[in-house]
Amino acid sequence: MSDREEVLRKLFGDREAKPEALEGVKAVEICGTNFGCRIAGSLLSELGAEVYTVPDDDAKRITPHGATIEGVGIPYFVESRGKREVALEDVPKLLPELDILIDGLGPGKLYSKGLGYPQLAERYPKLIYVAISQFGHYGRKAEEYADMPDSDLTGQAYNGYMAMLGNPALPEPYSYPIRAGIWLAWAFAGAAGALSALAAYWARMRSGKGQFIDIAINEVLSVDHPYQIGAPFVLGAPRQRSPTIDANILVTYTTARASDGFVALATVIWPEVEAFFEIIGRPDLAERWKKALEVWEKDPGQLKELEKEVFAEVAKYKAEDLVKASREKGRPPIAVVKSVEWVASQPHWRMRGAIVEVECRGRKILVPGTPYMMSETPGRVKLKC
Amino acid sequence: MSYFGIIENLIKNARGPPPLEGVKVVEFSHYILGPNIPRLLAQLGAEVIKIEPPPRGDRWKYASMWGGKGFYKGMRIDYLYLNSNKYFVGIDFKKEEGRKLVVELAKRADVFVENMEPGTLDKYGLGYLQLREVNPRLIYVSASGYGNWGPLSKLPSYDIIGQAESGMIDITGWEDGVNEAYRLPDYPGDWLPSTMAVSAIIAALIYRERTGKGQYIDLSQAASMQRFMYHFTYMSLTGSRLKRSGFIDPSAYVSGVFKTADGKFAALAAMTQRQYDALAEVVPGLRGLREARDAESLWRKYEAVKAWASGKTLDELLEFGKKAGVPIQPVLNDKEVLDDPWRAERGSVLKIRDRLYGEIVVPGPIVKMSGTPLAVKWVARPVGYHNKLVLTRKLGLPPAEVERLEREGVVGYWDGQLGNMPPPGWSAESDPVFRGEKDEVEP
Repeated sequence: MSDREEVLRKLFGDREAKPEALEGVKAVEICGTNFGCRIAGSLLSELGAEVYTVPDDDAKRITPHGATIEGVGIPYFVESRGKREVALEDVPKLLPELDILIDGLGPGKLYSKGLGYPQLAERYPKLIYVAISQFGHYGRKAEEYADMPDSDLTGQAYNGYMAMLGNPALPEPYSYPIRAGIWLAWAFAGAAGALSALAAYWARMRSGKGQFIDIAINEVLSVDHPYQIGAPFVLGAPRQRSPTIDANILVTYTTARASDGFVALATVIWPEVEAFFEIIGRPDLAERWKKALEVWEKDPGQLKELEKEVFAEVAKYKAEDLVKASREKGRPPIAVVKSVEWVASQPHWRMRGAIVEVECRGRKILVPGTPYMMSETPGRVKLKC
Repeated sequence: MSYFGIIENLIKNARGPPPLEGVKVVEFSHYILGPNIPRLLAQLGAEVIKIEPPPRGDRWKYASMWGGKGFYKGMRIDYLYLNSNKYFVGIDFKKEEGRKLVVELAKRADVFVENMEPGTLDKYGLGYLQLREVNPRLIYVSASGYGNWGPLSKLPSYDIIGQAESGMIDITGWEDGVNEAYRLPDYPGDWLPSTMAVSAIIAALIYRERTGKGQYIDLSQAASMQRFMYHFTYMSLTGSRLKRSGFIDPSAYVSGVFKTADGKFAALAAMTQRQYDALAEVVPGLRGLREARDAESLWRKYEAVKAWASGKTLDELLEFGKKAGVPIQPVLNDKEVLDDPWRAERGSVLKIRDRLYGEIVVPGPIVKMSGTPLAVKWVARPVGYHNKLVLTRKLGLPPAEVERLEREGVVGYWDGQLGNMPPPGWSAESDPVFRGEKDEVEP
């Protein structure tokens, strides 16, 4: 271990003994089945806020293949980190001391119960009210879809994300757009919810004023992660799904099948592309690839043909041999596609708290930890069975 | 007035300074993971100074995009977005005087963001341990693939490598019938972790307000993705891995992507019993299967909905979804996203007039705020474009000193390569911002 590494380990050590960044910040989430809302509350909790959640029986049943822990679904269990339950009718009792209210029920739903922002702001002008919903809380679509609940799948679809994922060359229905393996739309919405709540809190420290924040799950991915806007703006047309060659940089920034498993190839800039072709013993492909790129729009077939040649070459090598060759050469980064089993067994993630173990009636359950590795106020997963 | 009208008024009449006004950020980063952190901070109103080594700067802008078609007036479109609302300074930090300039900028900063290979900036005296000596209030963010310490910390990383090492690629795609591995497209391994980092930074600012203490944030892109992988929990609970399921959300009662009678794709996800029951009212074959949630049953339920959905147009499906309370939305492509009237109404796709690049379409702010509105004021600039403005107005150097630094190559400018040039027709003489006489948004 290098001196630097040792110093850093010490700097980030003693997590439990350190203070929390958001100590004293009080939030309540009223999410229903909207996990973008629950994720926002969880991220605030990881950073030290005192978070209350209004329980929801439907949300508790949302879980992969019906699997439950202590009677609740896995996502609900994981996203209950550090939260205390409060009944909806008891939320008004929290309001005088509340800093942040996260509303995931959909536009107008809390308003109809007297808990909407317009009503609360009159009595609690310092309140920060974060609304996370499918189409936001104002405008034509918000009203039109007010009674349609949200979901991550429809969020990925409406953000233009699914249209880029999957292989259109396969037989139906495998050729259809597919989803990211995580709740990507809800994750972006949750991350936006947490950051905007904190930005408003920071602003309130100066102005004394609360405010309303509107987050639309169906847009947040595509404004933060902006290719769905930038690509058609400059190309004048939608991009096509491309499972093998990256649809943006049109090089081998992708996955490929080696002789014994999958590898991830990351050629981004031209020297990396050249180095990769050398590694697979085909330096001649570099020049041909460059020429194919020059005529890409008029003749996309050329890239397709080269693609086949490249992947046929990769398939001749063992995955680890490609990784080794890339490390010896210093570029491009190549990695074996790791299984979740492999990842879960790595000490690196455990020691950094990215994956943590919770004892649950004699069973050891792994849960995602927190990425908030902070030297003074480390993020914390206060999750109990 | 309806609830929707009240909220619309609040958002449309939003006034006031942006929330992070007064927060000063120094950016020393490249590609996407690093630069998206200050992009969002700048959108929230922070003053961001992006330091690039002249003349090439951030290498991301040289990665050919769409076969060279991704450039807008000489600069890549995603680079223009990623670096909006920032000040661009070209400093050769390998020269001692350049290094000192970076230290001077760090002394006055609240936040320093870097995403170099772990340890790189320490070699130049610009690591956290060194900069905290000159600015103990500094919040220093290192963004990397696996974090700055630990057994995997030395592994190289890009978004896709982080996806491979985190397990993300292993959980996306199809388990049975299709032997393919899919990366998540468009680099979410960069965009999502960087978005999460902003919360940590603002939390650290709030903590510093109470205690006066800065701190070090060591962000791992792979760990940020793992944060959302409930697969680890499923595996340890059930003793088996959660299989890849293509377009089916395994947490739903029934879900998937369906082809409609008018040839469009629609996504549907009945997440609750009530939503499932509403669907079972109209879809033959669903009744009685609600609690069967294993992979095979999910597929059988998918097939039943597929047969029903194939006889409906997209509009008919959406009408059903609205009435029955079942989540259904179209799978939009890029062009449909860009042209979506709803996004134009909300200001999520914005046409702005940039002082240099003219009319340009940009993604709007990440959230809408009623009290402290956010804005995209300008897009990226070439390397060193704000040298004079930043060094004289913000660091207080005399113009003659800036000229000396330029002559000696301590500070510098772009080299005119595609991806690193001002737009056609630009002239230094008629640009008061480049000359350091005006700020970007000064009248």
